[in-house]
Amino acid sequence: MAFNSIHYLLFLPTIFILYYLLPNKYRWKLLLAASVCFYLLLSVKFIILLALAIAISFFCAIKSENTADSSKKSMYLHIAIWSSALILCIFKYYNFFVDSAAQIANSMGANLSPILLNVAIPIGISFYTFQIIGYSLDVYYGVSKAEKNIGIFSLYIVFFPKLLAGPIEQSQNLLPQLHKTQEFNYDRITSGIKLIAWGLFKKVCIADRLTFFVDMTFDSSIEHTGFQSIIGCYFLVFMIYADFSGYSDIAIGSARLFGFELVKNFNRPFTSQNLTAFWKRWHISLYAWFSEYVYNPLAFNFRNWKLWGVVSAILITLTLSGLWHGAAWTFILYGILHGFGLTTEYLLTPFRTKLKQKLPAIFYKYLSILITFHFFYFTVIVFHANTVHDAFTMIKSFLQVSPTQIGWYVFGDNKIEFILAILFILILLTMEFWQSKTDTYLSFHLKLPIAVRWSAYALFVLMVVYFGYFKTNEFVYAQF
Amino acid sequence: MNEIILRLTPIMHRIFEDRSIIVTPNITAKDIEKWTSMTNAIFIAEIEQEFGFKFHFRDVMNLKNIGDLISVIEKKIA
Repeated sequence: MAFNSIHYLLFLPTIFILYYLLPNKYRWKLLLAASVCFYLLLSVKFIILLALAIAISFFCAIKSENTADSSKKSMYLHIAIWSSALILCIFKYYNFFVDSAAQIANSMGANLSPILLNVAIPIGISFYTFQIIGYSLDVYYGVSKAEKNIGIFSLYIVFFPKLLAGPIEQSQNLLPQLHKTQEFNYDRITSGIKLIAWGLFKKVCIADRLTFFVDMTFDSSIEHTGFQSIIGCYFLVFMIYADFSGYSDIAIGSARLFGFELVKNFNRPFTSQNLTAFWKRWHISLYAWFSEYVYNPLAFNFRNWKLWGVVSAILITLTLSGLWHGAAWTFILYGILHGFGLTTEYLLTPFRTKLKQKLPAIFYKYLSILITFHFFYFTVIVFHANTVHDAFTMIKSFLQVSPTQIGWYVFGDNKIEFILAILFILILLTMEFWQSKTDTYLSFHLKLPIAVRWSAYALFVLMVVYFGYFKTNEFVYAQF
Repeated sequence: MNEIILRLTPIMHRIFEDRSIIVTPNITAKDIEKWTSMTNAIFIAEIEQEFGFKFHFRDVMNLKNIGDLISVIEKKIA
């Protein structure tokens, strides 16, 4: 059940109405039942894996907390982490690693034909596995108490707004909220509805519209010019951003309807002046997870190598974060490139500081934003391409630009769609700039007279319905 | 505590490249521009060298401010 499907538009209000009709003590049970149904509607067979991962991590956390013996604590932690990680590795990475190893061996003269698994990747596995691992570590290190109610713990893992593609919730944020009494709060609920509408606009009006041009750009059977490739790749950046941040807005808005505040996943990433800032603004929950549970332990263990310890920890963390997206060399290279980008930025800190002092502040600021954006621009081509070779072919095609190709329009017979795509990107950027200047997200309009406000809402809904693509295209991150 | 602060101060001035830092128990990473997750590991290594002990990861993962760090150091050197 995709967030942009009619099924979700029926499912969400139904659960919402039942939720507030029920006495408080039954509400979490309703959400758990709804979340299980939500998952079953997508995948029946993989619910057993999800249940198994939940049961193991739940019992191991309690056992770990109840024992004073440090070796037993460690044993329970390892059981919880490795059982979840094993499920993830088998379903998501086994084929890739076995096949890659066989290809390398065959290139050296061996004649191996690897046995590959013919199974789909369980839905949401990368997200719920990371949440389970994070929770197990939090309990082990005493950051969180082990949850004693298996129903509440299950809801923490399977809560439907964030089950498919996050945000990845750390235990300290969501678990305590699930124990609180949630009253009907008009302001919170309306802000949730507005966020859902805004997320839907990003998905159906921007991302799905841009998908058309991006697919055309990456279709090798169509001959296209260098200029078209350049523009198509700019569209790719905004397509992925509108798609995933739109998904995150719908997830956060849906959770808000039930009184829960999920973590923010995006914060105007294209205004970042360096990569370090970028990774605190793009897919925030994933990079917070990697920072907390991968980078920090690695940097601590490598601390005696001083500078090179930090560099190694960054490179390993970013490479793993690339691999998290999927079992493909393109994702691994995407991670490696960001790892090198971050380490280069770190090593060049003294040079950047001197440059900042010499250049006019405004020039330095916008130059930094442009460089950061275009670094991401090139890496996202690698991220999206089918193979590393395809990515480099695409980048090479940029060089084949001739002045005669450069015009305001480059995409065949789709002028209106092209103009709309540009217009909606501008609306997105303007609205986000506007929102950043107000105290709370989407609150700027509250100062308007009620008639103007409701007219604006009606206009917005009409715009989404009229200009949106409602072919239930999957969200990009739902595949991870 | 004062002796530990006196020994921490030059380390912090050097690692965070800021000689104006006045070390107090309430100071946090947010108060110091160059105290990032990148410089933090080097800072930890320098403290170990200065005081002659080894931290466990558990010791340093939940530190909220310099006061917490000083408490851990006091326990380690006691």
